[in-house]
Amino acid sequence: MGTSQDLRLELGPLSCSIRPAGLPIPETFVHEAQSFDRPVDLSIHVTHDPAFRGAPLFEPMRVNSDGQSVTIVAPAFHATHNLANSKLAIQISAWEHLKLTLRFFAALTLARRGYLLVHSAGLLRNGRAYLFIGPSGAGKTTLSELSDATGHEVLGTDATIVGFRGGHPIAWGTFFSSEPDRSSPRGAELAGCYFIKQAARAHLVALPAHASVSQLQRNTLLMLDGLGRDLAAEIGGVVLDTCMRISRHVACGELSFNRSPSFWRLVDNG
Amino acid sequence: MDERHYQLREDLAWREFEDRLLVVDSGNGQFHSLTEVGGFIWRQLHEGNNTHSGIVSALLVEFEVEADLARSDADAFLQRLVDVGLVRVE
Repeated sequence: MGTSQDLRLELGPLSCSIRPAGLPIPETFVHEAQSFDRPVDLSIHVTHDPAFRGAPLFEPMRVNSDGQSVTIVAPAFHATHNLANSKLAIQISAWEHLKLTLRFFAALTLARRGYLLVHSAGLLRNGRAYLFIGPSGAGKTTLSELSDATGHEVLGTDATIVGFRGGHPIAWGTFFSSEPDRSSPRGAELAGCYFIKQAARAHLVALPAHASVSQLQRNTLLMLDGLGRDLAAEIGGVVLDTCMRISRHVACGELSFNRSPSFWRLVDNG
Repeated sequence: MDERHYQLREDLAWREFEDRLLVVDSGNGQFHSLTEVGGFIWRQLHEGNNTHSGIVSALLVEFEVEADLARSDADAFLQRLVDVGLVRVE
């Protein structure tokens, strides 16, 4: 069962309108998307095409751009984003492939406007957001579970949007996670960015601002390959500016943690 | 004498930030953080002072450094830029 009605999906500062054609949107996806009720600019037309098959996470994706549009071709889907009017046309064989496609184009659209989709767990403490940043396996899910167990709200376990609103740094949750039920659509003032690794002893080391910029840039979920040099340079510059701005406004450090919620004490004292 | 011309690629995003110069390679997304001396050489290249001897002369004027050290620093840094593909040699 599902719906063939248009679906509106809000991701922090990015709002998406999804129009399904020939492929009803599953109820589970509607539930996840509608829980993220918040402004758009990405108009998505999804077409069912059973000719597209394969597992997108394990198959090569090819990104191309002529400067006017960006196209991804993968065994499981084909997507074209018109950069001028923000219309995104996706052809997929199954809805399970939509999130990966959407994540790529959301990251691209957000980056051009000065927002970053960061590979991070976003956690709330006393009404403020803290990002725990790292690649797969660094411990984002573990930290989320530890915080969840101690009553901290989880914005997201795998990807968080960061940017500025009214001059203040803000983090927003996303549903780009393996556990969307534990994610929240809320936005909150960003108080800290911590680059994480698991260790026998918990400790926190403050990072110089340039190292924070480097870490933020490396953990931004954005592929520049294939975009074409001009577009990639434009977006690369905006991403650098955003990373620099965040590092000036927010405490940043390298956090080693040992599967105990005591890491919050280090963050509070850091 | 090395009189090759070292040309910065025109499609790189770079910013000055505190005492660093930060570069994103738009071709592969790689990030580079240059120190004060590296940033100085980068700005010389950007301003068109793009020969080895020109860079060494600028280093000798800007920094209190021996000529041999300036030459070896310029050698190493320019070669590194070539190796990672941020400059072309003409």
